[in-house]
Amino acid sequence: MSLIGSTALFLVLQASIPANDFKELVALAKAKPGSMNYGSSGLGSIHHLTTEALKAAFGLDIVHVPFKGMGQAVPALLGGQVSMLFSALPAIEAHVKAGKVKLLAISVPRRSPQAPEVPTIAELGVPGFDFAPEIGLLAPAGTPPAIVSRSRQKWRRR
Amino acid sequence: MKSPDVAQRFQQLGIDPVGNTPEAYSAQIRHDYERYGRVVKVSGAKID
Repeated sequence: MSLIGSTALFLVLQASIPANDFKELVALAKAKPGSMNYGSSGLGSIHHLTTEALKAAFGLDIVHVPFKGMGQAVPALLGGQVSMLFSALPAIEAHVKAGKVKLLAISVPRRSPQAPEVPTIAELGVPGFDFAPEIGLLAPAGTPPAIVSRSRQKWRRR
Repeated sequence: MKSPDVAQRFQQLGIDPVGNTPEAYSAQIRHDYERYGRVVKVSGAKID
């Protein structure tokens, strides 16, 4: 019925991994292919596909570890079972402030007002890299147009 | 979506509001389906 809004994912690295920015991470991953892994919320999730697109763009070999939701993936990152993952900011912000994880890059072509120091992947060498989690409102096929239209009025911006 | 409360909460959560039409959203979903399909092919992911 409507795309309500879209947000961004941050590439988050476990603090113990010896890379302080995205370039260092790429160098580390290339030096030891397959030595690092990444968490996701599950197979085929935005977190999975965004990381696979990143790996393909930079020619990286990083092993996928699918979890059942970010509620399981984030604790695994904090515990060091996975080296990195893509996450929306609210889920990891407190851990960034506590120094347990590092923000290396953002998945959309515009820097975030919440973390303007974090570079976009587009800036880091992949123009057009744009993967954004979306919040959309859906209705079953065949929903009466009057209902769709009524709901639509609630969600239009102007 | 027009209320200041919603706008403020979205901003806190880092959400860019869109609020587009059913037609525009349908077109975007079709476009994204193709795009993500290419990522799945490149990644070599398969259904177990």
